[in-house]
Amino acid sequence: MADDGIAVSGLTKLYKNVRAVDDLSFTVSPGRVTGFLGPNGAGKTTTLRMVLNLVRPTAGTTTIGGRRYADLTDPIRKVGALLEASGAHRGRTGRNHLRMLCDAAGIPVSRADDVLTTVGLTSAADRKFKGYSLGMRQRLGIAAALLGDPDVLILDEPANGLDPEGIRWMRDLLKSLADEGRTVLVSSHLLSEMELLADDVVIIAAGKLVQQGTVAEVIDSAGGAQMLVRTPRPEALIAELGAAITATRVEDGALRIVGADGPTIGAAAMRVGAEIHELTVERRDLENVFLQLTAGKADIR
Amino acid sequence: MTATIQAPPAAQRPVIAHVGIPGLRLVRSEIRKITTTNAWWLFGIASLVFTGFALFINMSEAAQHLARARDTTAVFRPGRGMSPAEIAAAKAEFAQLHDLPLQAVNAAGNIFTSGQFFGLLLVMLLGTLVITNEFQYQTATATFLTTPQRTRVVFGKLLAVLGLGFLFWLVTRAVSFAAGLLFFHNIGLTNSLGEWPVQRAIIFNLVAYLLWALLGFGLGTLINSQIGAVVTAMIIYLGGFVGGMGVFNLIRSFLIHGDWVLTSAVVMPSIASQVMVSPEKMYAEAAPWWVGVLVMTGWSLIAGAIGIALNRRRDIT
Ligand SMILES: Nc1ncnc2c1ncn2[C@@H]1O[C@H](COP(=O)(O)OP(=O)(O)O)[C@@H](O)[C@H]1O
Ligand SMILES: [Mg+2]
Repeated sequence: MADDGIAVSGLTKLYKNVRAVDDLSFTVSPGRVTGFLGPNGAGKTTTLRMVLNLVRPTAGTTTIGGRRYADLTDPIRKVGALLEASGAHRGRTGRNHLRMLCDAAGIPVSRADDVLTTVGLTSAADRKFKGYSLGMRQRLGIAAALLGDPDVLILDEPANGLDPEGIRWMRDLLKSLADEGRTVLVSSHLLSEMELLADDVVIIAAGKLVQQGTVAEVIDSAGGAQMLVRTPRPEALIAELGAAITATRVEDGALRIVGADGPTIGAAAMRVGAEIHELTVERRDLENVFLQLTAGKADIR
Repeated sequence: MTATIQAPPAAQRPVIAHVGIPGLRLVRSEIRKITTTNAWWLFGIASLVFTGFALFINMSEAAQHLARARDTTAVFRPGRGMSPAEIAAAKAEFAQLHDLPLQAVNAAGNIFTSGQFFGLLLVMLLGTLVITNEFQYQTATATFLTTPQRTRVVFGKLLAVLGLGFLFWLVTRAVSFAAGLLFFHNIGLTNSLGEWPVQRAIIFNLVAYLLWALLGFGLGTLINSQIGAVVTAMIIYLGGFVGGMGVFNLIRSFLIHGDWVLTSAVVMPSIASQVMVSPEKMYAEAAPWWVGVLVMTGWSLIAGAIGIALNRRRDIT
């Protein structure tokens, strides 16, 4: 992969008594938004910090475009990152925070003003960081990530503290960055938001990989669509559909059927003469699948 | 990899120039970090205030000493019942106190290095904060993202700290220089700036500023906790001045009876610093001045080297 993909291989991090990340491997493709999902304490932040050379892995390797982060020349021009708890000095203005990063990266300080405009923070640029709201701090962090116009973006819970409008702005920004061919890896625990944003997802729990694929693949892998059927003769219909399906009875008397689609159920009902009062497709969503996949693994460690 | 529809042609991406000299970018960033917070002004003002205060005290004292030395009517009278040896010592002291050129040189040395005591403490603390601020305000993440080679970051900071130490020295010396010239002009005496003892005092004053900044920096590298590093720095600096010699005198009296015990007091940074700046031997058994320089540099290197080694492995979370 001679492109800007991210590859994580056999990554493990042991803290004193916790396996924060446990033999984790996955890849992230350019030109797509990849959601990095997992319950609290799953090891998302630790993984991203290892990719960025901030935390030393106990074992395993991570590369960006085939190179370790520490080996990148001018990493800021290649990778932009926003991490939880990446702060700024309380007494320094947002603009000066960005400028000192420009200095260190050899980027003209005028670039600080450009990214402040991009994130809509220009009017607060000369206020001190301590006066910023959570959402403004998050925007400043995104501005810092964009300084070097990087090919790869790694964002840890970027929606934290943003209002609904801010979340929508972020979604559009990340989608457009991916459309330009960049690699975008975003961790989150906001699943409905991820379903709108992500093309691919990587789901982890307790430090281990649970599932990786496109959003549709991951949802399908959990058993595909389910049908909701209402009929006065449920037993006859179930018998006719045979062993290929599983059916459960919903509280109000309807049947939930997995393993057969609408036409199959309709034909079977006609053969046994069962009246159909309702036949609807129940689309499974990411949240639904996520909870099923991570059930029992989501304890806070 | 899954087949994807060809991405649309890339949008106009900004062209970002490469600016700055690679080795000096980090120094520049560090200098911006320092000058964009209040610490800069607070330390600068504190340093000027202390210098002004010290100038006032040193000048009043010098004025008295010089007036006494100029008093030609005073004659030496030995006290009643003194032994011949005591009389000789008292006479020598009297001669010194009334030796105008000597008193003028001493006064110049003091005035032109005024504010050294607190100035050194301030540059030391500044050296410490340059490192510990990164952890106190969680900016270490952003810093190490821009420069994953952590040792390079440390050296960038080191150069910035030495530059700052020099700047603090330059400004406070400029103030005391102006005040001193005025003082000697007013009392109609030479300013003694042509005398080696005075020149030496000013040069070693600079060396002390740089070495204390370096030591503070080494401490900050070793102890990343802001409060921990600052308290340690204060104890090393003030504790050494207040109790330093006393401890070694006690050891000499009660434990090990050898003059080398007193000489070895130079291992304490505060004593080392004083040994270094004193034109004459600070006390009879004192080590030579260059031992003071070596001790200060040695401690800074040890603290800095251990700090760098720890820093390379540390998890930034
Ligand atoms: N510095 C640390 N020391 C000890 N344990 C840690 C440290 N950082 C994280 N952990 C533990 O590692 C696990 C994963 O944490 P984290 O990566 O922050 O999860 P997430 O970001 O998915 O919520 C948690 O159990 C957490 O308590
Ligand atoms: Mg996290």
